[in-house]
Amino acid sequence: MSSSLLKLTAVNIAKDLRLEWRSRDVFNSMLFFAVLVVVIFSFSFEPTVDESRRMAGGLFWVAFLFSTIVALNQSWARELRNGVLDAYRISPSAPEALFLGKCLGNFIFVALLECLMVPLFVLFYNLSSVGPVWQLLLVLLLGTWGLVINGTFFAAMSIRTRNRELMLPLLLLPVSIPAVATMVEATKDVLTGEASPVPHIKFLAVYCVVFTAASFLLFETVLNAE
Amino acid sequence: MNSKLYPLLVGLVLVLLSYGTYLALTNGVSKTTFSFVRVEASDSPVTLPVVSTENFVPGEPARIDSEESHVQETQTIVAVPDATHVTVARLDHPHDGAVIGTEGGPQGFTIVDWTPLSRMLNAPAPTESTMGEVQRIFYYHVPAATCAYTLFFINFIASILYLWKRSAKADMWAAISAEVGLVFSTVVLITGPIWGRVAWNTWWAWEPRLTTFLILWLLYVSYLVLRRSAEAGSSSVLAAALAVFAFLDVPFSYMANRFRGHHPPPITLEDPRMKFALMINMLAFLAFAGLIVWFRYQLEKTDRQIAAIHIERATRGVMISMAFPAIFFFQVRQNLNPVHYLYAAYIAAWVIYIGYLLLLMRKVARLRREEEELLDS
Repeated sequence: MSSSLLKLTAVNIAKDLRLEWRSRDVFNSMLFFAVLVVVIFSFSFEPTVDESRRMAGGLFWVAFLFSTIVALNQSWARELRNGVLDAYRISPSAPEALFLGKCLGNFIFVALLECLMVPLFVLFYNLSSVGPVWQLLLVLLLGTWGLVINGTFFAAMSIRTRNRELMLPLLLLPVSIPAVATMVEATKDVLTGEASPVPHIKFLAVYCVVFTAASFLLFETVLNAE
Repeated sequence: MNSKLYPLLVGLVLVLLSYGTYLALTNGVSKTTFSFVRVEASDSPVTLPVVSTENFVPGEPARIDSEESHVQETQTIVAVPDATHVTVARLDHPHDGAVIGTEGGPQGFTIVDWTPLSRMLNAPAPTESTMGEVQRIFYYHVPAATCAYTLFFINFIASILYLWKRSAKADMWAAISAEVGLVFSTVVLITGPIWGRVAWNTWWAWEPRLTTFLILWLLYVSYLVLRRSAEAGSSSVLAAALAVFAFLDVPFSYMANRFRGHHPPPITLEDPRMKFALMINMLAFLAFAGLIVWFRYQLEKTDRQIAAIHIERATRGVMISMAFPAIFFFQVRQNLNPVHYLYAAYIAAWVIYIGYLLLLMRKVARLRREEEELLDS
């Protein structure tokens, strides 16, 4: 990776973070959405401690999947105003830098959201882990990256369609099902301590590598699709 | 379009399809029996006491014991002395029925009269011994799955070609193979649960193959939706990129579900006539799929030619909707009649195929109308 690519990526991330810091559009809606999902799930199920260990993984990732979609819909739509994306396309800078910047920016938003939401989950569902918690951290990191990389790619694709906000979940969810299913299983395995999450974590790692590679290879094509 | 060849091909495919359906649905005579004795290997003819020798023909080969026993062998039937004995030329292995021995009961092994290929042409598949009539859904289910996988693979290759060469032809192939593949995978997804309801006592199990297919189905629905809603001009490129993602996703969706419990027993075709019926149906449906693709290709070509002159009216999509009679969901186990399920699966398959063809016909009518209008003006 050349230094100009790194510099460009840093510029992109800094721009996204600054915009977000000034408006807080995305982060606030994401946070509120996730809180609502948690509260509604908790109303509807009222699980016992054992049950909630089993269920929390599913609820947790479903909440994040949907709030990630909320964030992703905004992340590219912002670039359409004043023709920023078109300006980027005719500039000589590498499209990979733009994509990497967006991915890392989204990753930071979602990771921040997770940091705030995890205590809330523990509180609402009365969670305590039987298995080692550091494995959960690994699942969180890989799972978030898997969601964000595909999400950023498909969001870039969906802004080229007529019904943008509707298209993103339609494109993203089918491709993400295997990853989400694995994240849920891995989280459940750690919380209940019944099985080792290591095969799931390996699976997630491979998934992240394959789809990161595919996204980087195809991003330029999608950006310049005419 | 080569107009002389086309009716001939349609006729041929129809004949193949009816022949395959005949082989699959007609009840072939049972040529499987059991023996409950221990026998040692022997070079001279051995007479085995069996449950029944109905339909056993001297001179035909017999396959003795199951594959899992590792002592399966094929020997010639020398004679059928009476209704409960079969004489085979020799035995290379001892048999004691250790593998399929019934619990608590006597230890037994199977003997199958292995119909030779020369007599296969008019030999419909017999009813499977463990699953019964409903196993016949298999002869429609598996060919449909093979067609769907083949078409999705063609879609992937065409998409890669399009990304590389940007040829309109590759894009056309990608669009068509995804659409036709979706029709075949809909058949797979409907016949599968109908079979599962009887065989596993549940409509749906989160089993790797089934789940993979469902995800595949969802992926290609989103593919077609993207094709239809992308901004003019960019749809081919975006769709091709999605096709690459869809293809990459298949192994992951298979592996992700491998961790889940529920594994149904694999289907073993215990009689050569079953394999033959499957082979014929496989051939018939692959030819059928090829024919539909060809037809659809000509249609797409005409469509694009017209669209080039007449852009504003040329984009109206084919939506594949499926309605599943809700009444099926409220059946209780005791009332299950496998034969009803068998026919339900066959009828559902044809409803989908014919429904799709009707949609295509409507498209033909629309294109013809547009063509006339264009010629008039």
